[in-house]
Amino acid sequence: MKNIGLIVNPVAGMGGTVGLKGTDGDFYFKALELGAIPVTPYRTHDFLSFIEHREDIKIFTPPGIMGENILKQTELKYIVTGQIAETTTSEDTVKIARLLLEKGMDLLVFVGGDGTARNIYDAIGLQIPVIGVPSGVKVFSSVFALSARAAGSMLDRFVEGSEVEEQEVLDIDEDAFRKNRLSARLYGYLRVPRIKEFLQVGKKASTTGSSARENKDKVSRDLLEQMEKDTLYLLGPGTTMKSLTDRLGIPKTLMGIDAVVNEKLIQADVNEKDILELYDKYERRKIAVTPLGGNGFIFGRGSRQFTPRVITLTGKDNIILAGDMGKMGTLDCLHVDTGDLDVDRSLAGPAKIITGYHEKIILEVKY
Amino acid sequence: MSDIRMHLNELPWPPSSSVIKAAKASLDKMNRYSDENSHNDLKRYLSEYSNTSEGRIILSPGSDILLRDAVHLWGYGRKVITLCPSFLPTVSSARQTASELINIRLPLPDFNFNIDMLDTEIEGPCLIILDNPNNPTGQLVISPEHLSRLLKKQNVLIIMDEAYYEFSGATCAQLVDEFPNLLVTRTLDKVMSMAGMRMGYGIAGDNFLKGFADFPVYLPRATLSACVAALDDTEKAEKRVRKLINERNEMVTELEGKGVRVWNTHTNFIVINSKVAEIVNRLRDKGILVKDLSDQMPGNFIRVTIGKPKENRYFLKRFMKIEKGIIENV
Repeated sequence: MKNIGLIVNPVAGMGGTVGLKGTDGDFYFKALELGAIPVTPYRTHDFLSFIEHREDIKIFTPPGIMGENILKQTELKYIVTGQIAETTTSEDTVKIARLLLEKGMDLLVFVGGDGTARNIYDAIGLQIPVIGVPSGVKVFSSVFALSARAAGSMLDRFVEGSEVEEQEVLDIDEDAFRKNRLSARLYGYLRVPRIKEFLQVGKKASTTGSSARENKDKVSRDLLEQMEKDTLYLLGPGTTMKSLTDRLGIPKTLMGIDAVVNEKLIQADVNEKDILELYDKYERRKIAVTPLGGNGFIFGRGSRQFTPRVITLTGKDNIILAGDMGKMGTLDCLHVDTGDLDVDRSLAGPAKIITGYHEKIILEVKY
Repeated sequence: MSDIRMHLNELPWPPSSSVIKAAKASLDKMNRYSDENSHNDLKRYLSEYSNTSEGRIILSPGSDILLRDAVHLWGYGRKVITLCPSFLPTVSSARQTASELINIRLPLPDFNFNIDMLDTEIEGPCLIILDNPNNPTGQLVISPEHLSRLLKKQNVLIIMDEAYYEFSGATCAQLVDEFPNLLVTRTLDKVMSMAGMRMGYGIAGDNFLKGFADFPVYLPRATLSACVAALDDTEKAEKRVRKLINERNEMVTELEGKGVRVWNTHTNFIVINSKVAEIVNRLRDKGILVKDLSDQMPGNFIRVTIGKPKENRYFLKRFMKIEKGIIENV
């Protein structure tokens, strides 16, 4: 029997659909104002439902929204431990993690994003292994499973006896992220089960050398050539899409999604609500997005405004993938983790990515 | 001490003395272009060596040059479909001429080629280029049966790069009589220990033969003489290949035993995914040159050409020291 600690960050990921790029500090309240709804309960439930070694584990979890409420809905064995504040903060995560460490857990599972990973690192360091269930807006550290489903499989493999290894926890500057910059530094290391196929690779920042710029330029030339009239284009984050907007002579929200019709910017930095309103106006819609370098995520990391609903309304055939060969050429496959398994499944299979002018690479999309 | 060359897939041993003697003897006439008879002689030897008719042999100063010419001649205005990773000079040639270039990823963990991905891409005039075994993964990607199925499709041309044929034993050359749209390219650079001589050849279906007929190739006298001498006694080359394969298998066993992620291949190289990001530079500091694959594959992949036994032992020792140092520091 393995003792598994489970900590759920109830606010992680809430900023995503409303375009806030994180819920650190006061941004949690802003997310609520904008109508954001909790994400982690669903992710936690998904994770728990994929565990097969149900009889071989005993789960220790904090009360209420940080774990108990979700476990109540399952048939898993669990023990509620510790106390949490009425309005939870990162201090609760740290406090509970320390308590679970004292109680002798074999493994600690946390549900959240990079901020939660940092809290877990602060609390336990390298003392016990962890699995991160991805549920934040920023999920760039290498301690996270590829999806909630993959996290469930990782836990099973851990129970069967897998080795562990150290992986990076990144510190993403949320203010910089909101101001169109991805500023990441190494925060520390956590130990995770060594199961490569389920573990995400940390995001690699874009290269900005002259050959990378030339490559992006070729990609944007191809993109521009295939842009259709009277069609709404939602351009995802990143420098590849910026290369396209530079060609068009319009600004780009580097870390956000911009709406373009007939080569004109019609709305910058849109969230899910904005997108759905635009979809009421435009019947012809396309998403153009760059898979993340390093881990190949198309949806589910970074740009959470592309919600399962938005993706479904757009349709798989209207999703254009583009990125320069320097980055795409080193990816083994692509990943989606939208939070909706049916949507993820519909996106799976071979996908073409524009990597140059009239050049593409075909990679398998996995979920 | 000069660097240990494990980066260019050369054979580590020089050719036999008879080959060197033949090449030297030809130097007296270096003021004269080589003649047609010498080329015909070589074609005759190659046809016997390849078990194909003499008329189907095309000569070239290196199979990379033959591939480049073929892509420039037949890739123009066509959709070119190839593998990723693949032999980069060929991909660069395709980039210059193709109406559209499609790269199909050979994914981890086994670099298996999903032929269905290729099938769905075939539409309109296509040129398909497959290296079999693939360079740099070293894996066989297609069987003659699957290839036959593709060759039957309308408006499809296929080039099979068999640069490592002698190490894999796998070939599709027997299909050229049946399929005019097939070109098989090979080289003597590796198997005959003659990389410095540059000798490639093609076994061409009728469509390719017609095109190449307009571009006669004149090879250096020394190359022609050395190749004929080498093909006159292939037993020595076969022995070298067997020896190299044994060395390759031993290397893989040893690395696997030490927990290194290594892929055995059907070639004269192996593929390793190192834990060390700077592995190529670190080995270079120790006088070992290996091929960096980090721009084509995920992780710290390197391609290591099998060398002489002593070189291989030196590589293993140095590589493990660097690798172990990282593990201990984690």
